[in-house]
Amino acid sequence: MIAGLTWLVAFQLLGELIVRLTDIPVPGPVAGMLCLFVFLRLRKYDDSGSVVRAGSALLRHLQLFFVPAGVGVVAYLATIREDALPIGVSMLVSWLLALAVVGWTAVGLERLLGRPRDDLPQLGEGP
Amino acid sequence: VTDTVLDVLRSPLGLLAITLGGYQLGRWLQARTGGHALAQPVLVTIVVAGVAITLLDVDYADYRSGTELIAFWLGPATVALAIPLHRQADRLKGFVVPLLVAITVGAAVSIVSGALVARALGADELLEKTLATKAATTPVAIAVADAAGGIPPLAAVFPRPRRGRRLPRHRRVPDAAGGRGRGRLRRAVDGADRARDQRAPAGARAADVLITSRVAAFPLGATAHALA
Repeated sequence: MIAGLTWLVAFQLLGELIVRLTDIPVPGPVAGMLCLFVFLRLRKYDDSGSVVRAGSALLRHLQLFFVPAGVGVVAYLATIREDALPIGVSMLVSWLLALAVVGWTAVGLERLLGRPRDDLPQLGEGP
Repeated sequence: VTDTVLDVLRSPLGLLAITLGGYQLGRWLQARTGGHALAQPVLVTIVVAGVAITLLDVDYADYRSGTELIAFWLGPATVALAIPLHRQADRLKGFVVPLLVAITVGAAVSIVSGALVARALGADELLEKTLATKAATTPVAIAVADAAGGIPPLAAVFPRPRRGRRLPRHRRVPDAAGGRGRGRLRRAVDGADRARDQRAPAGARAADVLITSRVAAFPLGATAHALA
């Protein structure tokens, strides 16, 4: 567990360094994520690796780590109440639009490229 | 004695205990209600901790620094998002181009429509920037809102479909006939729901599109900020 966490922190550190050195407008942990992804692809890691085990354990409780930031909402309750309409409508509209556009674009492009790999009709058939 | 108890509760240890306790309560409620949509552990925890610091008269800044131990792990957990991406990378072979294009278009639509609708309805620039992060997965949204000059706590609580969301019990059993007679998109979304929750192979690619799109939406948010 500690070995895996050490790897995760090391990749975050690497990401942070890259972001600082190159001055790209991306959060350090996200750059670290891309580095870890490349590393996992190159090493063909399976589920027994320490990084994978520690990372999966963290991801199971990902929600918990949002709480300190989320509790800050008590400081912004007035903002939410004042702007309830723009917040609510904007979230609903952008969510529906994005969902539909992603689905249609992906399905449409697949048809356009002429290589439909349609596994959707198999829905429900067991593994 | 009361003062001593209150002091201990206001200490970082007390705030950590309240937060972890609230999270356990949330998980218990979720299990008890069979995964009810409102019984989100994160929602319960935020309500418990929010009420607690209001009653204890603790400033948010003090709460934030007291619970730094929890918030710290958001960084390594974000790095760990590479793991589900890696696991699904093989399944995505041959689908990379449609995927990347769909993600880019979808993220752009989400960012632009979110910000424009908010502006049309009279939101200020700060709120607009916060809403623009909505397409990204929560840890990324918090970081992007921070970098782009939005409000990180709001980016954290604005609802979005979550990874690993539990379905109500009656929807958990795969239904062979479920796909017939319905729209393809609808089936894809249903399949995505099921695949996320049960790691079922069917429809898993649609889940990949949805999950990956949230992970990948960040560069667009960052670019939008750079252009603005």
